[in-house]
Amino acid sequence: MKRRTKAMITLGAAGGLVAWLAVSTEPSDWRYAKLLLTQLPKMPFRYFV
Amino acid sequence: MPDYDVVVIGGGIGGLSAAALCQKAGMKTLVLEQSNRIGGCCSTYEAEGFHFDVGASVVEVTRAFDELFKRLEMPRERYIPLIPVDPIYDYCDNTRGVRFAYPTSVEDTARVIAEFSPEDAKAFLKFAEDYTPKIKGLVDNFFYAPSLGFMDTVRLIAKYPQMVSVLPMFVTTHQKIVARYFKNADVLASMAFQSFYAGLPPDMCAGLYAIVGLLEHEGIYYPEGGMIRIPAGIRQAFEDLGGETRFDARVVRVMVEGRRAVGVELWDGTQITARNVVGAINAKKLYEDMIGREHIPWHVWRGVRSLVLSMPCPMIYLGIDYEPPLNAHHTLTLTDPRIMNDYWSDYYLKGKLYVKDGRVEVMGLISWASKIDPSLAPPGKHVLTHMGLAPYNLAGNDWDRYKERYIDEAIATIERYIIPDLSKHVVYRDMATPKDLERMLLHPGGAVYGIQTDLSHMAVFRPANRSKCIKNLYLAGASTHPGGGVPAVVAGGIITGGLVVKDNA
Repeated sequence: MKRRTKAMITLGAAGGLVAWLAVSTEPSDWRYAKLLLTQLPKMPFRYFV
Repeated sequence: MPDYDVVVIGGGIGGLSAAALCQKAGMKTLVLEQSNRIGGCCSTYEAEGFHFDVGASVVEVTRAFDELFKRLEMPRERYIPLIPVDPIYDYCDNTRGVRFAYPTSVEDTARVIAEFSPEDAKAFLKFAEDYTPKIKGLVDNFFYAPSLGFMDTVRLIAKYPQMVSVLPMFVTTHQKIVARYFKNADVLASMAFQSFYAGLPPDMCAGLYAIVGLLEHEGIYYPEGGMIRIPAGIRQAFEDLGGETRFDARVVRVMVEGRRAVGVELWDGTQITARNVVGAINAKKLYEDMIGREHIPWHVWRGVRSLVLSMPCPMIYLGIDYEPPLNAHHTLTLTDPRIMNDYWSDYYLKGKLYVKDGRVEVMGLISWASKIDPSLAPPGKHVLTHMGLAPYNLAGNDWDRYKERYIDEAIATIERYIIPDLSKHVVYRDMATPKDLERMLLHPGGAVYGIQTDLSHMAVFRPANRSKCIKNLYLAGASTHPGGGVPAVVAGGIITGGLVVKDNA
């Protein structure tokens, strides 16, 4: 599989995950949402560990 | 020519599982354990005739062991004899006169719940009906599949389409799932405490931990002779295959040449060369302390630095001179999800211990191992351990100074809620504080579950079983995929061993 295709799949999956997160998080989950929001910018780096 | 085909750093159950599979494949394998005891936090130590489990206190999902021994083509029963534990756990609050124990059978558990909450009994059966099929998808597939990148997730779903029904459990929280079913506060508390196994409160723990409560109804077990029997059994299998284990062999450095692991260096300067290195220790410690910034690309280094350690679990070890008035191997202390959730933000993150009515109270799990295996204590005596949750750094105090007081406070909490007069029967007491766990087991921050188990540290976002930046370097243990806890770590060892064998075929 080409690198570009892999990158597209990766981006698509990451985008899907974020969208899913957005629709499934309720206001009552604020602590979890806060945790994930603070961790979100770090996740792309963790992907490479 | 390298000294070994594979060198494994750490004699915990993850490292041993990977080592055994490598040895089975004909690779000359060496396990290096820094202490003089096998197993890390899945182990047992002896003091004054009492045998205490260091950390882990029970086994769920024995199919992880069965899978390992199936791949080794050896009989699991011979190496790790397990005793069934029933009831699974006891829920007790003497201050309110509440006490019930859950048997292994789902139907019997529903009957227990029905005695005080018929509505929740029906909900429990529905919960079991809804989530039991997901267990297969999750445990039998996700557990043993590498998660090196999104493509692995795509492949896993393509191979096992039923995994799709499991994915929402990664996004939602444990609390959200159980709160959908249970209304009675005590039933909810008994179903939400499993987030404790991830070192997180229920409203921050990934929803997939909700199935742990059901997995326990497949049966929980205790190994004959204490939890050390598990690593000892895997080690025995590994050595029967020709593997070698060295104790008091602390690794200080992974030798790297041109982004390729070529061996390890011990504390005394001894260098051992190997074709492959498996770091079965905390991934953060492996990359930061044993490999170092100079060998790691900046973006990976940033990822490593961002990993959050899991909550430490201080352990209290008590030898007592009578049979305690307990009903089960495990008894829960203060596991009301509201308390556990508030504890995180109001206490844990501020370096404080939980305080109620002006008194420190400890929350967690009492384990009464000598109920199942009386050989763990002298005749007429018993062993109790308490696993709690507490911060690594205590605000305005130090664990070494605070240790004895914490034991007093733990005993007082247990007396108040569960075992009256416990303090009069304690003949031996000790504790492993988060600092002790760090010193003894070399777990940074005393984090026995390795890396925090929230969505941002799971699957592809958890340190991979095969390093993405150092060739011939592999990882095993609680801080890597699929996560912490005895069965997950064994499953991780299976993944890692499988990758080493496949890459060297």
